[in-house]
Amino acid sequence: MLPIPRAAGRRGTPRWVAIAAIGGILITAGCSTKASDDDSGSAGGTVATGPGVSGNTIRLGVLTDQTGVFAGVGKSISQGRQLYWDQKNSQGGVCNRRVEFVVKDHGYNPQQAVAGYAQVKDNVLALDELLGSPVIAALGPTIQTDQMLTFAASFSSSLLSNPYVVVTGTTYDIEMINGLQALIDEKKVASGDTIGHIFLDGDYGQNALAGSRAAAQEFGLHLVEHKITPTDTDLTAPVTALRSAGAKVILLTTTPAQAASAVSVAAASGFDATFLGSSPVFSPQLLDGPARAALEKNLLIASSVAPFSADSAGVQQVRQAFASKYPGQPQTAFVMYGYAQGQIMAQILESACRGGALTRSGLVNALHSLSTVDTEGLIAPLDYSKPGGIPARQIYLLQPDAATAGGLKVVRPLFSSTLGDSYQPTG
Amino acid sequence: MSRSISPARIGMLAFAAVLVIMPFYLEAFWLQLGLFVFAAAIAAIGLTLLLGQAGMLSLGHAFFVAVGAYGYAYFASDPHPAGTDHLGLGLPPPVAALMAVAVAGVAGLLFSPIAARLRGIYLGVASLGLVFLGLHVLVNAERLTGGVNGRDVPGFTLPGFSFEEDPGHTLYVLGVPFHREERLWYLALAVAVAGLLYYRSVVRGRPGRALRAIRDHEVAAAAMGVNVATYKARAFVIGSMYAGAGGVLLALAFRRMVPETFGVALSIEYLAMVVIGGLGSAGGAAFGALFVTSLPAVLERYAAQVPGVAPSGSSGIMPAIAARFAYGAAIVLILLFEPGGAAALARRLLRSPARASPQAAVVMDADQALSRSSH
Repeated sequence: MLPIPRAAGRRGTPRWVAIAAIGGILITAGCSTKASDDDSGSAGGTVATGPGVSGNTIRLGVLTDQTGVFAGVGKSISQGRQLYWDQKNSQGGVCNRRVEFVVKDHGYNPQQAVAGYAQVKDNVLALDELLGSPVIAALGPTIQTDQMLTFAASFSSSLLSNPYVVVTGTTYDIEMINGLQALIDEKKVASGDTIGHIFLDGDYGQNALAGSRAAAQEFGLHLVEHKITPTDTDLTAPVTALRSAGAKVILLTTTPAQAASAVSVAAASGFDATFLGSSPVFSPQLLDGPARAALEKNLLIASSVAPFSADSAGVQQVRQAFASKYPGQPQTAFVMYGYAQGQIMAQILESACRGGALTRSGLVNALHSLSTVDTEGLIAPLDYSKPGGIPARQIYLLQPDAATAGGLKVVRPLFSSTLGDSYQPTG
Repeated sequence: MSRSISPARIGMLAFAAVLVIMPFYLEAFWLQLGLFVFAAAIAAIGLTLLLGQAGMLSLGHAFFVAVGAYGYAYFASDPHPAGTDHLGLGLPPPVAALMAVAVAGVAGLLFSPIAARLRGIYLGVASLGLVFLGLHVLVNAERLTGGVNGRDVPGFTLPGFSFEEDPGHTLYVLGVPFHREERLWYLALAVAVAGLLYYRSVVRGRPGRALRAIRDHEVAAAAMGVNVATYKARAFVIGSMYAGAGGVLLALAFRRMVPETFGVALSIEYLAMVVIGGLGSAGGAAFGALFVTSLPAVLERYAAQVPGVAPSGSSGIMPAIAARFAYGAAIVLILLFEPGGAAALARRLLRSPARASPQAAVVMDADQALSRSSH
């Protein structure tokens, strides 16, 4: 690149003009309109209010995935949320205020999530949804500094150490413990048998593995572990290895596609093991594929969120509302999850309102005042009275079934086990 | 000498002044985004040195960024911070930052024998291996990196001044509260300016000419006495150090790093930045960083106001999806209408008939034609 030639003799702008202009810009910096903070919250009527709360609205943030790998999940959750709050707001909202949402997409990218969080943090009282394990991990310290109560769309026990992160369901470790208890009750496996656990490297897999290890020790089972990565698509190798090890039950903490691979590989080779999957293992799309028959026969799912087809009163109500507002949309358990999160958030907000503090710290106090949150069967009963404790310990045992709405039918309604009730995560 | 300054230089100084006063006006969203842009710009300058000046295609840039980011966390953290079993050396943050950049340089040096022997797409694929290697280490070396849950980044401090917020004590500058974003903005700006100046001194001097000679014709360069292997190795080390410096800033902007950030997608983003900005131009790389880093977030922010876009949660085209379309279209349009990137566009705009003599214009066209044919 050549330097740009300057025409000889042409008069440039006098230097003092430039200096004066820059100086002027710098001086006006002092007259910035940027408002100073009010973290402490101001008294609006009888209730002290924090960020995002005005005389007639409460704003909550949603950091979700609308364009990345979990776009489908994010959409179902938002439909559930919409159903709940449309109804709640039409009945007068919470604390005489409408509840509104500021929705940001992060596309499962931590950097976009951090930017989106910076945008909403001063305008919202709490985060009603934070989706994606890497995103939750990246924002952890910031959430703590800002005292931002956050509903994490994940069931990992490792999140419990952050006092501002709320897990709304049974954790992955207890899913595995209770699921194994159910298989023992049904005589699918007994003390002395070998079981396998194929799990994804990462928080999700490690947490479920902690549960299966505790259960194997308690029930006298021999556990064979197989770690895989998200990019593995063919699970022939681990399934074959577990077959030679004589496993009667194989636990799956994987992606849905990987679970389909494992179950169909076993069926094709005549390996008649029972598969027990963590809650994220199932996706209704699996039943459109070739693995359908094998999944319906050999896979069970442990989940604390009711399937779309469950017959509890709460689920029936949501199902009707969904059918009239979103006809033809995918019917998934995440709709129930989103709706139940609305119920939980409403209870927190109402309790904070009664306590006279719709502020960030008021919300945390309100959360710990909730010892029984009943969502009418949408999610296992929740207890938030012990900070850092596992909030729920019951699960549904579910079975894939293409003929059922949402693709999952209930094998065993909400239950827990002795070990599931006493288990404490380590580390 | 002369008592006048060219309008271009005034423009540049005014732009710098605007960058200096921005924290007084912008809200947290823009400042946070700005920190990401500065971090990306510094790393991208390193890549444009490699790809634009030396003609070395590196797809492993994300790896060196990760080395800088995690290196800083390791050097600056106290051992076993906050009840974890993470390792740390507890060095003062400025020392830790310099060490992290140095370690990124050493990583580049270790890779440089390979970098000096491979060319074009072969080097690209070989360096891609570094990213996969890096991701594996980030996930599995838990005491060093925190594994999948990531690792907290200690705040930056200079003697007598902390870039972190002190709870219960707000710093006011000219009546404006200065949080960590405002403070880090100036750190990032200073590093970016230093990076630009150093880049200019490298590129305009003897090393720059040697690198361009290697890029255009290795044999001819060797025949003229340029030690090809040494220069390639040096370019790779410097490029890696830029990546490391970008990584330190990225870590500070994030507060906690997770392995997912440092995947292949990040390497591709850096590549997109230097191509959009115009190969070999530091200003172009900075523009590319601004474009690639901020456009998705900015479009997402304003897409809801575009007519025809459905509100979030409904079944139509949501703002986030519309923003993705717009982002993709913008990249294609830039490369379609200005293959030389933003740097070529800027050259074209600055070459106004009033300011350049006809001969100069002809010379510049020839210069551009040459530089285009060489890519």
